[in-house]
Amino acid sequence: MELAAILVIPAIASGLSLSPLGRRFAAPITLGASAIVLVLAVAVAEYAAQTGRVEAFGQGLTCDGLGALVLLLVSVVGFTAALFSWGYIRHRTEQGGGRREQHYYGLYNLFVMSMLATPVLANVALMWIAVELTTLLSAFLVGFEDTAEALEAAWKYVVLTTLGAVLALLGFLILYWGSRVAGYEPFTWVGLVERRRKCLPPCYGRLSCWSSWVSARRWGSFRCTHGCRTRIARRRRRFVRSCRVSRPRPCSTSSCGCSR
Amino acid sequence: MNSAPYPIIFALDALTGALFLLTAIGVVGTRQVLASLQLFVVQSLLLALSAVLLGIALGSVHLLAVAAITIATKTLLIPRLLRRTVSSEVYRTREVERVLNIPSSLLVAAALVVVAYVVANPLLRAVAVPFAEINLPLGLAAMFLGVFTVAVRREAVPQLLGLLAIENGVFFAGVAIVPSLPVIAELAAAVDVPVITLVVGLLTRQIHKRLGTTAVGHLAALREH
Amino acid sequence: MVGFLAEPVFIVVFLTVSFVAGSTIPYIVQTRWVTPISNFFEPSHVLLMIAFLMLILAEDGRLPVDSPSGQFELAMIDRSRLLEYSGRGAAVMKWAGAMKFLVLICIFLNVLVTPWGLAKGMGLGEVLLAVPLVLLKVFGFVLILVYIESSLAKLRLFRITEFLGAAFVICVVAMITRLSEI
Repeated sequence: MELAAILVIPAIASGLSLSPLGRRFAAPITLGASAIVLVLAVAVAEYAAQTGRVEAFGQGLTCDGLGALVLLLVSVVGFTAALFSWGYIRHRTEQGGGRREQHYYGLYNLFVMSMLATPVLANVALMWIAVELTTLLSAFLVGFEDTAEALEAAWKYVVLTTLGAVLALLGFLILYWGSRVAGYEPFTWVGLVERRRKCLPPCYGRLSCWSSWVSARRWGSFRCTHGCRTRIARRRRRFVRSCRVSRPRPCSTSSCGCSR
Repeated sequence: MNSAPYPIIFALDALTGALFLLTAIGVVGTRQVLASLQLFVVQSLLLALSAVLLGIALGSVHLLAVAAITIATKTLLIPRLLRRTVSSEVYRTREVERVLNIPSSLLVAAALVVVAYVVANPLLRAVAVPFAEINLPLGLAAMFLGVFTVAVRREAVPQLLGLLAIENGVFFAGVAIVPSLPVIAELAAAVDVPVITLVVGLLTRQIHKRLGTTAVGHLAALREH
Repeated sequence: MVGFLAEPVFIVVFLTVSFVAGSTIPYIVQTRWVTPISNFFEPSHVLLMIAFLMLILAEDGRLPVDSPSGQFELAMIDRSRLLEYSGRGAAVMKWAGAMKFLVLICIFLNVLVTPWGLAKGMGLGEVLLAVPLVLLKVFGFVLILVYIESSLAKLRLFRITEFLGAAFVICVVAMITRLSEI
């Protein structure tokens, strides 16, 4: 039940942000939704720690220990990023009116929903779809500020993560082939784990692990700190850049913050 | 070869595979953006042809559906989407600068084909699946060539075509090894490809508007100094 | 002009043809693609046809590699040999070039593209029957060559190496596909 709620609440928050109600209240709605999601994720994690696995919709959504860990991380980052972006985005989009802020929060909530969906979806094919969705929904979030650096960051991000996801698709296809060869139907993580002791030729595991690892590396390097890193890094670079611009004379003002 | 019941289809599939690999090498090695797009369309048509051949041989309706979806999305929808989102002057450009010049990148492409065959060998020896001897190594090779395209080209549209070529390669391998793909995976890939194209096309348009150029390989401001 | 630049690719293409067919004698090579008809469609065969076509275009100085009727001095490195002759000497030189072209086309058509309709033995009747067929094939090829030449532009000078490099890589890929027994 909580698992379904975890997925549905950000979707509702996204819809509300894009509606006329969101013109003034998009930020508080998002913050409230991510707080509720955080509380639910803590509850799910505790339950999973006690009983080993949480299930919903007849094994359509599952969450075991590792999934609970990822869920917790994602919800904590989502909450703090929502908190941080309240003031930041309001400041950045003051001139353009409320529409850009609404777009931001709409995309943000959908992005958080797809990130939350990844650890809980049981069917491997659906999980791959969720991973692809995270890339596509956050492409315009990374390039939100429309500067040269932001667009460059957005391009590199999209290309690298889509690359990883498409390579992972091969891994999943080979895994599916392996599971068909060893003879069982439900292509879910639970099903694969339970029958791992049956003979699955090791080369399958190696190849699909390799391709999923390649994709996960891309995923990890851009995901977990995505919300904070790109924005904070951009701020830091802006400081450094303003120092560099004033380079012809020595940087005497102490407000630059550059290391001299 | 355990495809003895279907010698003619095997031969035709081998032909399709060779041309598929040739188009993948072409996407790496052509200079003009429009030529890359046309080669990608030909590659998708060859993928659909292979799916149809395998569908006829193995009697699987799923593969015919995959072929239909491929033709609808990759040959018809993607060029139209790209034409609309990216401004047309991008298609008249030719890449003057690349990371590697064309003869060297073609040699690396040949080496990648060898790697693909080496990688696919243990899988083929483990389980005997009809037609996998052609489709799996060539699909893997097309995949590696797509990754190489993304790495080596500096223009935006060829990088996107490299991404889509990887997916072509994955499906070329997939139609042989999993003839009855779960419907969800087929639909996912069908919806996914136009959405990726749309997103990347819009991003390219924004980059073109803001930076005046689509040579994204030259953007090097964000770097770990 | 670039006949001399194409020599390595010439060697590699011929070696690949022999490698794929398992012999260097054209008559044995030709039977490989006749008897089991499925061999005709094998990937290495298709790739070899494409590479050999590129080689013919490069060897004889056809478009897109070189313009046979061009007057641009930089591209007349090979033709400067011909410029020194006139009269019967020039005719003999041109005849030599045309013979090389005919030999290459015959190998291309009779071994790779249409290895059928050749004389099986050495009887006069069979040979007389095969000659018009070969001429017909050559005529068909010339028509295709006209189409290719009229639809392509001459490559810039340093792009010719890319063209030849592509032919080389196609040969390598043909060898790879042949090695893995497809």
